[in-house]
Amino acid sequence: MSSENQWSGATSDTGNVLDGSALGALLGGNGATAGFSINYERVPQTIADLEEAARFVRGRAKKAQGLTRIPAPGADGVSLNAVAQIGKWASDTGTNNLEATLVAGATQLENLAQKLREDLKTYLQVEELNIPQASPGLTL
Amino acid sequence: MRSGLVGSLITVGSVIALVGCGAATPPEPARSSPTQAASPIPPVKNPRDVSALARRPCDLLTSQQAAGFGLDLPPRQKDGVLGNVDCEWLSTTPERQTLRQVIISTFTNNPTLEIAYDQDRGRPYFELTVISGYPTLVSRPTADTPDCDIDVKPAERQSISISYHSYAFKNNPQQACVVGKQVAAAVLMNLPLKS
Repeated sequence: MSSENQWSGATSDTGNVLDGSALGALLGGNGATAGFSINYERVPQTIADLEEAARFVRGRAKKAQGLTRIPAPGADGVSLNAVAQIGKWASDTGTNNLEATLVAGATQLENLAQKLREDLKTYLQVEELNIPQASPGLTL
Repeated sequence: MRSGLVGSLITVGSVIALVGCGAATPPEPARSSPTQAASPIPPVKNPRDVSALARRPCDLLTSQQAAGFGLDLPPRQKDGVLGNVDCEWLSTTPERQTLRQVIISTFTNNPTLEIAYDQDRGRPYFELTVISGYPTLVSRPTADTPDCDIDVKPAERQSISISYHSYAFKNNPQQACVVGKQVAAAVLMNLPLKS
């Protein structure tokens, strides 16, 4: 490992500690990630930013749900149909509506952050990490 | 990631704009049709006044109640999507992991439950129930994530909408609705009775 704490071709750097882990696969240079390097000192910031992004996306899911609470502005067919269509698009019974997609995306971001957290603990052999605040201006 | 978020926002904004255009024309008054089915939402007894706290949604849970649900203080007030105001409570670990996220919205002139009943019935989980005597819809947007949406009707055309998320329930996502209902019950007790 270099003095700049870069991981590159990490199979040799990390030994077997990260075998089978997402971070290990990434650092191990499998397939398209061959030759990829990571500054592991930046992983804590990445974790914080992923968590912030997950919170933000879940907040947007709540707003998407709000779109389904709009009453029709009138009893005419166009108004009723417009509200029905917006509602279906925002949060209908399927899995591809906006709210469900955002909730699922937020969960995936959380899971990724947690996986990185676990892998970094394993690599550093520590019980607890020092994770900074999310980067300023990360969310809109 | 960022471009995806921006894309979503633009799309949401477009929808809001579309609704805005529709609202610009004076709407026809809603008429009841002789064939219209009776509402499945039961009438409200002992109504409570949501408007009293609609602009201060962070007062819908006391500090003591929030702490009891494991939420950090202070909460954050945010703009809602329909001109209303939301409040968000978080619970995070020293490692910045989000354990819980609670967002509460209020509506003071909207038949929320009547609309939501039709919109949400096909969700992975859906329940029309009663909490503390008030009609409530409980639903989950996805089958396998620990997220629960709860809409309570404390008075006619007034409602409170709660989204509860807990990472701790990721292996038992239905539990999010169990705790979410408890949050709803606590919120209801903080609303003043309508005179």
